[in-house]
Amino acid sequence: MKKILWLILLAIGASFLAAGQVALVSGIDGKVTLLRAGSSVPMEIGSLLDNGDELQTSTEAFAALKFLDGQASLRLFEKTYLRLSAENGKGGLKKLPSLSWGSLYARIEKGSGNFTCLTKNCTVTTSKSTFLVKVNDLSDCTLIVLSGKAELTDPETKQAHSVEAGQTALLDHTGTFLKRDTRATDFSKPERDFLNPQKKPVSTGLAVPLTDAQGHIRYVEFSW
Amino acid sequence: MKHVFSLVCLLFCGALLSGIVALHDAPLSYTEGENVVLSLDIQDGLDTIQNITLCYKSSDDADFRRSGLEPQTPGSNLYAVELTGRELDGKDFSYYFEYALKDGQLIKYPNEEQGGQLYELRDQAQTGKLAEEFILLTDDPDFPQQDSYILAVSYLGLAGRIDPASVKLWINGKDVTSKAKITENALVYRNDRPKAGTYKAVVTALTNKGENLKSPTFETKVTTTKQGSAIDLGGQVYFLSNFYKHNQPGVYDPYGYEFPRDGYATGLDMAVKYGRSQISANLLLSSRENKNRQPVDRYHIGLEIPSISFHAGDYAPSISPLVMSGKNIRGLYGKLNGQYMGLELACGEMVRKTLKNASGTNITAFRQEAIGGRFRLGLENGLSLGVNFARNRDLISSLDPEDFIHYDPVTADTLFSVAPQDNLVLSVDARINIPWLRTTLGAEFAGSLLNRNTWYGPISAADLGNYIEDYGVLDFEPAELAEMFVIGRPMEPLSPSKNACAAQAYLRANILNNLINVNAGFTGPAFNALSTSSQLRDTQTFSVTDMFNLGRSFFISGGYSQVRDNYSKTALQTDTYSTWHLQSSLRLLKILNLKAAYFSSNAKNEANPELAGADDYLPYQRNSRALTLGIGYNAANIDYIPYQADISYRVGKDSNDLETSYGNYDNSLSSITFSLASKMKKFPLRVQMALSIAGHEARLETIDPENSYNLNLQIKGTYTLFAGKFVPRLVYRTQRLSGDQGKQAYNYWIMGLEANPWRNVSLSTDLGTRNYTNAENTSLNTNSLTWSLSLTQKF
Repeated sequence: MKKILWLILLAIGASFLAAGQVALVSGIDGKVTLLRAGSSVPMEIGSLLDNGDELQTSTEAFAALKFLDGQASLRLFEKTYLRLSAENGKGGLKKLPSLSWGSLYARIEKGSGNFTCLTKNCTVTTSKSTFLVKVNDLSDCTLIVLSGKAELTDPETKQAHSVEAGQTALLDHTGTFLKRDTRATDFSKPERDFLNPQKKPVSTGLAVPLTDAQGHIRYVEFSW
Repeated sequence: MKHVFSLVCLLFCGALLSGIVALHDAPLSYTEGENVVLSLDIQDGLDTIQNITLCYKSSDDADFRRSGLEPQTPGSNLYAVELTGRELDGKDFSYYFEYALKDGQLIKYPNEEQGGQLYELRDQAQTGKLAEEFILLTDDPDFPQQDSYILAVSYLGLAGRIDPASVKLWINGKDVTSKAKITENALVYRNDRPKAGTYKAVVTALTNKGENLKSPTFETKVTTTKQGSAIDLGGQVYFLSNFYKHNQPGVYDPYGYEFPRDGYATGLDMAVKYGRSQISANLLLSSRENKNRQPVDRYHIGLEIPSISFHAGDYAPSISPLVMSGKNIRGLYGKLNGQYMGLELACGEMVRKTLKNASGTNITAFRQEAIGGRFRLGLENGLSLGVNFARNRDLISSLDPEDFIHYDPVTADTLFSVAPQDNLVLSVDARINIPWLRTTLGAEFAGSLLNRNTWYGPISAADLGNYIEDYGVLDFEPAELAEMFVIGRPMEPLSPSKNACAAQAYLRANILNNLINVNAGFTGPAFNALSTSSQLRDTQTFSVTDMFNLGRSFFISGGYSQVRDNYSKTALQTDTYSTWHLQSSLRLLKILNLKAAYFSSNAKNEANPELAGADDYLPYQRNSRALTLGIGYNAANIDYIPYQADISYRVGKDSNDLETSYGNYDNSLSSITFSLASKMKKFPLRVQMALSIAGHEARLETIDPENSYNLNLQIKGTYTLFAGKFVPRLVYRTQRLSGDQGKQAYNYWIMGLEANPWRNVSLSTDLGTRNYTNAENTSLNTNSLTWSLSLTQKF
């Protein structure tokens, strides 16, 4: 009976700690599904996300969100599944999103509350960095640190590996860990397009169609 | 530095204008939904004031709204006007006071046209303690803010410390809380059809301890690609009326101040904005309009586009203070305002033709046409030179000769009950604006001609030669100039002289927190400018004022002015009237106010040694001094006991310091004024009370001292119903006087209602009784009933 009481008290305490709304949808494109308590609910830019909300992006879709402490911005690339979780306590908003599969970009500013991304095979923890974490169908985990420093932990062995900017760490489902310099091939096309946005070519010419006396279409080109 | 300059003007200001010294303790901010009382303490010049109007506008208003100030108690030098919470609507306002003097002058203070900065009144909710825990989330590039405006603000860091129900969102000064989604940790506001521009947002909230918190101002630039309607239409339609019933028609004087007549007025103010252009229209129709008197009705339509202004109908142009200013013209006005040059022209009817009636309430007047203009060369914000002119002409054809000419039955001389006049004024002015020194220097020199009777037409060249020695040099035919000005014998002056000139120079500077204003000028005895308010002719004037502030807590202002007549040295004596004043205010702990003011005036005369027999004048030297001390507090969070209270004590002397044959006098005056306001937390009752008791002792050497007193008391209660939609009020006012006319008393009971039943509709009505009793002469006792109604629909 005592244990049950403790469990009830613990649940009540946890519910107090768990923040209500934890994030804001700051960008969206393509088909993105928001699941709240198991049901799909409509969302748009400016929608507030609750603790426990789940987001799923489809092919060629993305969703961007920002935690309410303003310190963490996430971007879910296509075919990604993320569950939001955060606790608001004395140390600030502790952000604990869970990435089931797909690719997640995170920009964490130094501020209140740590950021910990949970996957099936690894845990990524940081206080200030920019990184990309990816989980494939086999639950292999890839961490690419773009700036700052992050820590990759194997939940089974509790072994932690520090990964710095310019490094890529891999932890596969068998528990094999590998750390090396980041390669261009580590990024998918949507990730590259996002990280290295190409400026749209500026038009420097104009072709004007004209019909000559014989009825042929001719083009007069203007360039500058 | 600009803020400091603003603060000087905004927070505390003493006005020295045409003999009026007024103290206005600007409240700066107000609590949304609550009424705001703006008051003016007239330290000197009360007897010259006809009425005072508050002119105020928010950024949404095209034109200034107007509301009359009333004496807090009858005869009081404390004037006040109350703006309702509904009227304020959580917006930021700028305002000034307009003094209508008994001599017809209209004076604005502060006057923007003369470089003054208007007072400001902001919603207190937006003036809380800055809290950095309010975080803007929509500052990422992911938020394009194009064709829509999304604002998300988090206050997660304040969770548990603030009441989410108290969170409010203000965008561009407007409360848009109802349109925002507010949760315990954040709010989101979305406008899918915004106008392009910069949006300034502020979030406010109350902590559990009642402290007001506010966010930093979040600015967002929104662009639009949609071709929406950029036309912004706004305005109001209003109806005002007053009805009176008196129990003693025999005593009733329909034109007496004490017995106003029934009347109503209705009007429309409208403005259409399109980009930087604006068209405005104003219409006022009054039951007091009488075609045989000067117009009360007003018609106006105006167009303002960058660099060009055009107005038709009733308009009061400000061409120059010495040439044309502050008088209404019914006609046309246009202004081209280029960077290096500008041109202004105004023409129309300044005086309407009227005929005397049998009762003598109307007078005969010619229709007077006025034309004025100004040409400016140079930069308005740098060095500029201007040439100004105005001509006023009474049209002889507007009246039948029988209406203004009659003949002396004995001598058969032609007599004029009113004579047609021509007036011509020319002036040149120069102005230097030095922005980096925050200093403006300017001067104007003007000369005038006035023909007091143009009935006789222009003088012949031969006759003119008899009057002017150098006429041969000029060699012109006066009749040829008659279209411009009728030169005739009744001219003032016939030949140009310094007596027909006027000049003024001014300096305005803001140096080391000192707002300095210096004015000097003279007006010759024959200077006439009919397109301006009355001039103090044959005088020299000088005034200097300074206002200084130290942060937001300490303000001090002082000034000296002198008016000296007999500028032409043609009178036996020269009168000099000089005043100086010093006022200061100290704010402690944000709620406590201490204020002190000292005012002194001196009037004296002296003989003109240039004239024989000057010793025959009767010398005098009158001094008047008054000291005011006050203390008060204003703490909006206090309930039940008064949240605002002020007490001030005034003591003064009025004496003749020169030995004279008719004896000296030495009067003393003391008064105490007490005001308080309180509100109840549990129910929306507000009570205001003002009490002033003044004693006056008149001492003449030859007569026993006479004591008199007056007591003024006003108690006002308001009760807010249906979230401020209906606010009934009850007012009791009494004034008791004693003195050489015996004991008198005025008692007032007023029941009123302020209602805002629908959005943009407001109604105000009062039903009041006035009871006057005179202990010495009971036949003068009267009762009267007044009903006033005001209905306004904004759009």
